[in-house]
Amino acid sequence: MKNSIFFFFLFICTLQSFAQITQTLVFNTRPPAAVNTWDGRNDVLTLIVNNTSIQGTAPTRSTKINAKITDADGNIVGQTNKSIAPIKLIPNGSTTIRAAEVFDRNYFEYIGSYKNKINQTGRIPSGNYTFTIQLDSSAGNLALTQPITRSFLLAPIQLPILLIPVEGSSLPAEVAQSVITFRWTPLVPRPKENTKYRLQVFEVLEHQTPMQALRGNQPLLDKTVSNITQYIWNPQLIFKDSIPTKFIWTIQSMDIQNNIIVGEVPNGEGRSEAKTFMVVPANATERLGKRNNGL
Amino acid sequence: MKSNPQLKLFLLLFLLSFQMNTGNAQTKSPVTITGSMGVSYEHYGLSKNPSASSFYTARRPWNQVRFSFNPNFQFGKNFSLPFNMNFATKPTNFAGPFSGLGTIGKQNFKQWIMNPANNFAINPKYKWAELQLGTQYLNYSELSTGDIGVFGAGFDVKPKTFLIKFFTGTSQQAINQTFVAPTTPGAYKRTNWMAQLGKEQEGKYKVAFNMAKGRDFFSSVTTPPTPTPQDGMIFTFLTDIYFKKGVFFKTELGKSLYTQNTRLPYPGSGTVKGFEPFIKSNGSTQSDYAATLAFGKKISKWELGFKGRYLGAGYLSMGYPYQQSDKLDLTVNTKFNAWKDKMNVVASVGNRTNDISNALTRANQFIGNLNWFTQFNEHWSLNVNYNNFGFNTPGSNSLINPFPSIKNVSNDVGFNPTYTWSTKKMSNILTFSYNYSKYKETYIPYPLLTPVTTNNNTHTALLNYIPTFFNKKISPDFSFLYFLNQIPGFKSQLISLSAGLAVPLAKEKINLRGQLQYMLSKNGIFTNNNNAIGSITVDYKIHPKINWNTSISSNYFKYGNELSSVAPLLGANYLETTIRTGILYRWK
Repeated sequence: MKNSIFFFFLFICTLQSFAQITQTLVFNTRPPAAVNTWDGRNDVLTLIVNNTSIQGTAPTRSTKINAKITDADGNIVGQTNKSIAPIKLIPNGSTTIRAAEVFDRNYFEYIGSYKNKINQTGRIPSGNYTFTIQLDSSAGNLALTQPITRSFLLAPIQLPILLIPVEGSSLPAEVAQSVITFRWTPLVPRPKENTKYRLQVFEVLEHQTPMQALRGNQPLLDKTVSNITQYIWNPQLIFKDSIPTKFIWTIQSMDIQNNIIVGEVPNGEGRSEAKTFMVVPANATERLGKRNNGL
Repeated sequence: MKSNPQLKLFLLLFLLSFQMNTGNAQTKSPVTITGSMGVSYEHYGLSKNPSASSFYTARRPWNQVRFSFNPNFQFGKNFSLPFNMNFATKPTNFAGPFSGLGTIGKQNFKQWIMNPANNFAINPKYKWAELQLGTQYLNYSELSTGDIGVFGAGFDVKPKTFLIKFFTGTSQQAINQTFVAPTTPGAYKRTNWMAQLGKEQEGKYKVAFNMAKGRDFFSSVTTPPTPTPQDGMIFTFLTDIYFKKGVFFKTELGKSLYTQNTRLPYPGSGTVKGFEPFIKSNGSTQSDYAATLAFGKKISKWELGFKGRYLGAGYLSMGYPYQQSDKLDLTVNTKFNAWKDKMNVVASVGNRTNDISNALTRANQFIGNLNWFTQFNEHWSLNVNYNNFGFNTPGSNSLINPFPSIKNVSNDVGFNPTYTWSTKKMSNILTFSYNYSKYKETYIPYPLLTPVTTNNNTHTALLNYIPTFFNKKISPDFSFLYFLNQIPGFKSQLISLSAGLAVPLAKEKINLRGQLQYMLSKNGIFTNNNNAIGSITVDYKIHPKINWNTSISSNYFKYGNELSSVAPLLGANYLETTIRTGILYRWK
């Protein structure tokens, strides 16, 4: 009988709490694969909590954020350790909670093999996961809001791989001064929306390393194409009467709003691993005794 | 008159070295100088019609002056002082941490010194000890550091068979992010350290332990860039062994510790341990491994080798900032001569797996290359090449978040016969080159499961003729090119004709070269585009040690109705001109 009275009381309190605190969750359905950086990002989640407690009664609520990630089989990937999580005060009105307060690894703990994987790679294996969040009482034993769940896909973005001209290949100047074909692989996973690829070709000057040319020179070609992975360049340059000329080229990937898709390389530039090729005049080609591909 | 610090610096260096060189000639001092120095000016002009339209943008700086100062002063037998100084007056950065300075067109002194477009380095060397000062592009190993230029100081000493190297400096200057056009993405100041300890006996073995570290300084900027401030450290151990009869074995093992965001709080248990005091860890720190392995045999007639390279998903290096991790490369390559060395074959076959740790996005890339050159007789030679690429990734048929499977296959084959013949008055080289490229792109947009395939075929044919006259000094050349690219519903065609002439003048002190090219191109249903390019180059040997080179090239391009079928872009055209002139002094 005592238990029944206790649970009835708890039920009433919960209903009251649900009525006073509502929450809206915006969760990126394709968040960055580097899970270990989520607490430093604003594009992962936004939780808007609305406290409609009557002014003067108990306008500010002491809560604890209770979050959980589960894999497709329902296994827990990571969850808030409520015993050490800080108290989150929710004042009357609207409060925005960002990923920094949810995924702080001082109290959001990844479990078992997932923890090891994150410590090794910064990521968890690609796949579909579910994120659940709710606000609990500051003691951690009472749910103040209904749990909200969102499914999301975790898949690292693989920036384009440059195919041709092949790394280190020599192109005959007689062809290259009219046409050079560039080809690369698409972004993986291929986005639903259109993707822009910015192709940049830099001449490597004497005394320069290819990387120095890429980071220091003005590109001879700076062309953005949409949703295609090939560009036929008419260089409109004379190569035939010069010494072999070296070039370095790269692709920068962007979404339709020109936001850079940075992939998993932490430099934030979204540039693929650059490749080099040479343009060699005929007499120099004959001296080399061979021609590589690249027409 | 406006002060030009770059010019002053160059003149100072020039006078110093010239003085030393003059002294050398008169007194036969033990100082010898090799290398070169020079200055060049480049002007770029672009006029467009219609001029206000942005259908074509400039691709070179309007005016640029470049200086190079690369002498090597050799004092006696044991001491040398090589300079490596190359710098330009205007920033032209469009990629990397300095990107944006190219459009802004200004930089402060520190940024100028450390701009990747410029290089200031002196490497005094006494016997086996080298001091490294200024910007150095040091390649310690494939897994530690090698791509990045660092401005600082260090040394490279090799007492007997020992290797002791250390270098520290700044690889990027702090640049505030700006949001008002022209924008700059900005960069934190990044400091790098690297060291190597090892032992090497050339041609026999090399063992070395490498350490490379880089760290961003958050407080170095007032408007932080988008990438988070990072901290990374790498340890590698490499072993190269060369056995008798050309057999070799090489391997390198690496471990990286990388913090993706140093601003995050430092957590306690459950996360990666740091390696203090060198690197602290936090929740964004990851620690992963990498390895390379190569072995094979290399002798004068042939070689056969295997190379494998694995980079774990969390293996990140500040010494290779564009490197993508989580991949496995396996390659077998061979090279041999046959038929009394008249036949030369170079071939390789390999497989690269990207995103190896992720089943959903794992991408396999097959790469096969063959280059086969045969000199049949004094007249005929033939080069055949074949390249194959395959790329496929499985995709996801998840109902919530599907993404397509991709399968691309490329086959390229090329034939290049060359016929050479001579008469009493001249010799002739006629080269024909044909290349066929077949590229098939397929993707399956889940959950529809209907493959979408695009066939992309390219034909390229080139005819090149180079006569050489025995009794005349002129050297002409002629070439004709046809190019066709076809994808469903679209065809690009191109024809180009080009001719060149080289003439020595003034007792061969002047070499005059000229090139003309006309190109006609047609894309899809649009009318023809026309293009004409001309260039003249004059090489004047003013003195046995001084060369003056000047070139002028002009490029005129006129669109058909590709940009628009109505004015003003109907028939839009542009003329770009590049004028370069430069003097180069060579000591020896």
